[in-house]
Amino acid sequence: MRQNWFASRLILLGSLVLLCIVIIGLSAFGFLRPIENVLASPLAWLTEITNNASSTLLSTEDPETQTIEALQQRNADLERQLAEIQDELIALREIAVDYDRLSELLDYVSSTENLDFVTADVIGRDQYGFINSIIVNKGTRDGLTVGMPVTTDLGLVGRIWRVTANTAQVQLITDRNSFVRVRLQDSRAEGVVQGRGLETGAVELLFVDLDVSISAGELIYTSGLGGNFPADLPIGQVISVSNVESELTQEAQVSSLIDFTTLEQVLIVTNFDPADLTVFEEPEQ
Amino acid sequence: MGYYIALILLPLLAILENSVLIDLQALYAPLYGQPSLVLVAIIAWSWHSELTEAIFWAFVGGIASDLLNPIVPVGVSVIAPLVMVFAVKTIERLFYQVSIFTLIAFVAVGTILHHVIIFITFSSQGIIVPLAEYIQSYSIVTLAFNILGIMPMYWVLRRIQKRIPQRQNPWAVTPR
Repeated sequence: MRQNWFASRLILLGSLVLLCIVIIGLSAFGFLRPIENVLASPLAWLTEITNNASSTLLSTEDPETQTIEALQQRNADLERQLAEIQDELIALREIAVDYDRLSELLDYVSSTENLDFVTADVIGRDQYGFINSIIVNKGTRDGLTVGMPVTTDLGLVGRIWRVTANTAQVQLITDRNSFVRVRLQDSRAEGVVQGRGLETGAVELLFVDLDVSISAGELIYTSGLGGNFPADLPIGQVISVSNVESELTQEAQVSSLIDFTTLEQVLIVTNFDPADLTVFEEPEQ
Repeated sequence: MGYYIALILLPLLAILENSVLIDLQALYAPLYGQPSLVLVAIIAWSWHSELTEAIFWAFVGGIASDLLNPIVPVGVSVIAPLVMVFAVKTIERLFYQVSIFTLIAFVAVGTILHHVIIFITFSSQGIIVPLAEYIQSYSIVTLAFNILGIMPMYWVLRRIQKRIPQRQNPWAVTPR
């Protein structure tokens, strides 16, 4: 009796499930579309009313944002704002880097009491490669003249070679035609630093007496001799020494602390007048 | 009388599911499950109703849900409540006394069955559903809501059932 009842239930359930599957199939293939439309219309209308009410009550968003057009517009606005903020971020990062660099320069300027400086931005480099030089955005209007030393907080950069009203070309100490009289920090020996034409900051120390002991890591400063540069401006650090007995003097490889490829700001010493010593070289008649 | 109540109550619950409850999902995003009011109501009502009336409830509720959900064909949401109605009436018949908390188990099984059917339907239509995400974000949340909601729903519907006059249905299948 119970089995019959159970079987009849199963048959009924199976029949109804089968009916559902038939309805699903008819609906999936669109055969019930007219009936569905009729039945769904009032439900959809009521749903819309309820939806609007709940959206108003529950949503903190502006109702206009519910439409696709409004969302697209908002998306476009947000993308534009993002682009603007990214531009601003890049500019602010650049300012932060400039700030760090300028504050270091300011510290250096504060530490050198006897020298007056003009700060200049590097606006160009020698495009032909014949000489190692940079172009800065200050000129005669700012009081610059040919021969003025150019430096940074890390050391000597070079000297002004040519100058216009608004710009000046600076011959770097790495240029092959640059010669700077220098003094070794520990041994106090003198020599000349000549550029090697490399932008890496590698220069050569020449004409150091053979009996002077040069050690790697020793610092080199301008000596002030020759009258082209003020004394005690750092040049760089000795990397290696080549002491050949057959030579009359010894040489050393020196590396400047400055990365000349990324130089962006320099200080120009304006209260230093290069001395013209050629008058002492000519014998008086 | 239960038939008329089904025609009014179940479409209203389906409307609530498709409007208010969807908006409420924003409160617990990124989860997006919601209570299956229709399924819970059908199971709760079937506990003390005749089989034919419960079957009617299953069809009305399932079809109302599917009419408001154009993604699935009409009839998909009928199967799970239908099976659960038969399960409820069978258990009721087999055991002399069944705890009301058994309803929770029925709701859990019904919810899982309904989601399995929905998943099969989507798959057969070529809709790719990420199963793990579907279960984690939707099915489990829905299951939790349904389990929490069955008792209040039963409490409300039982009071309605007690107030309406019971009528002998000539097509009733339930043996006396």
